[in-house]
Amino acid sequence: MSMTMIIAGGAALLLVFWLYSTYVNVIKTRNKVDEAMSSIDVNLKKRYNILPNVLFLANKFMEHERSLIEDITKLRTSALQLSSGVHNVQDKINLNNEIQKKMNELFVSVENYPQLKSDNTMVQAMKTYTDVEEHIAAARRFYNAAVRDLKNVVQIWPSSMFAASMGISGDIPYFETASEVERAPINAQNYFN
Amino acid sequence: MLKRSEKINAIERDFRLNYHSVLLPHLKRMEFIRVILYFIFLICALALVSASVMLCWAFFNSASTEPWEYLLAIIPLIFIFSAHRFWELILNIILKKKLLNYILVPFKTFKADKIFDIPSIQLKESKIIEKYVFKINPERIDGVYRGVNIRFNSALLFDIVSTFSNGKRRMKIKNVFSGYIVEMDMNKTFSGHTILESHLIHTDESFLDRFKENYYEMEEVELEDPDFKKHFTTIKTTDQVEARYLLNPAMMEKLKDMESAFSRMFKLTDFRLSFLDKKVMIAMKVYSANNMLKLCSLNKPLYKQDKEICAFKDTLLETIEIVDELDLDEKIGTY
Repeated sequence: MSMTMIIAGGAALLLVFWLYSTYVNVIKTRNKVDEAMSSIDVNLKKRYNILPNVLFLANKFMEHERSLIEDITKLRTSALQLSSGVHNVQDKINLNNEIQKKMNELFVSVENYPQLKSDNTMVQAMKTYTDVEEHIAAARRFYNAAVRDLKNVVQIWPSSMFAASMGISGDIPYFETASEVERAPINAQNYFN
Repeated sequence: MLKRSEKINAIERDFRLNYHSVLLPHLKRMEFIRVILYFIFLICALALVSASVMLCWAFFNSASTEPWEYLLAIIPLIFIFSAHRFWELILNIILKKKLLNYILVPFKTFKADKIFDIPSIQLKESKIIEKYVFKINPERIDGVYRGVNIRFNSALLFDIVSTFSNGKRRMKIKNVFSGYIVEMDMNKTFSGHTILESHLIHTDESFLDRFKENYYEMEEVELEDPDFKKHFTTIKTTDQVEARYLLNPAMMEKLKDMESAFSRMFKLTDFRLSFLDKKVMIAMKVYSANNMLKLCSLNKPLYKQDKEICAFKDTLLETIEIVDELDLDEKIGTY
């Protein structure tokens, strides 16, 4: 076997290895998005499981916030009907934002009910809810990192070639929670009045 | 710098009050010990300088002395530093024995512990410590902050390595870790294992060495904060979501502050954290000569060493602040 043949064989082997590792990377990145989405689903499920406890307690004391409680209950029901997976991310984001907004309103209203505010069960429920929120935020960060990686893979050559041939699209939205209120610039003056 | 909790501020306030009312009179009373030890050190230094001068004189009078041989005369001078460290260590041992529990009064439940032991299994499982065969724990402080058990251990870990020289195999004892190991027992259970490492100084021991067994179980965590990556070069986890739950923006700021503060205060070579099961473990590798929980210096009068004693207090405070940052006392959030 001539030297040229050996070099050509080595180069071909390297090319095959490179192509395979690029292919593996594309698949791994896509699967990571699925994994991240499922972790969001798990944490959202935890939130939906906690909601009835918080709402039950709130319902006992908060007579003037009945419509708000009903709204959250309806939103929870709609959220539970959504199937898990990446295909309905936008719906999940919208519902999640809506629930978060309403829950924030509810927790602000709790301030007006001193009896409820000092109730041990409510305090514990609120703490648990906040902790679940933190888990959701962590899952969201993981998901967004995975989506960013997928977008890079889909848009940058040579992995984009594989992604296109396998029908993998980077058209998945980031899980952003910032509502209009959260996005508005903070006026520090409000905190000192 | 992040805002400190009310409890930490209270400890800080109590410490200042305690320093002036309780500690200062004790320090004034014990000043004579420092003077005696300093005097002994001066005698040692004088003896070593004399030895150096005598060697120089001997070489000077010898006809066959090579110029490089004069360098041998410097050797006794090098021992002056060792003598200083030795007598300072003795001073600190005496002071800690007498004063540590007074210093720890503002920390309420914290006390110097007589039982020097770090559980080996947990230490090995945490994967933040190199492979070692035996350990020495010279000192330990433990206490409870917001219901979380915290233990500060100074530790020297050794491994037995085999070397080949002149065709013969020899066993050698190698110091693989000298520094401080902080253990915190939480009310939270973590399902995954997260490790952070700050390689301040490159060591020949590679990260891979410790991960040979289950390296592939752990994945790199890509965090959004590029500045955090500069402080902690290696972040690995078995649970990506949990790693991000632990390393929330506030916690990242806290860890950056902590790492910078400790690097500034002490000569750290490595700063590592592990979150596993119900434990947070922090390993701070220092140069062996550097005593992190050093109370006082030999050179200054004890009653003028408020800065040194404050540095000791800050070491403890910086560490226990992690409890506030992670709400480690809360039983909620255990999945």
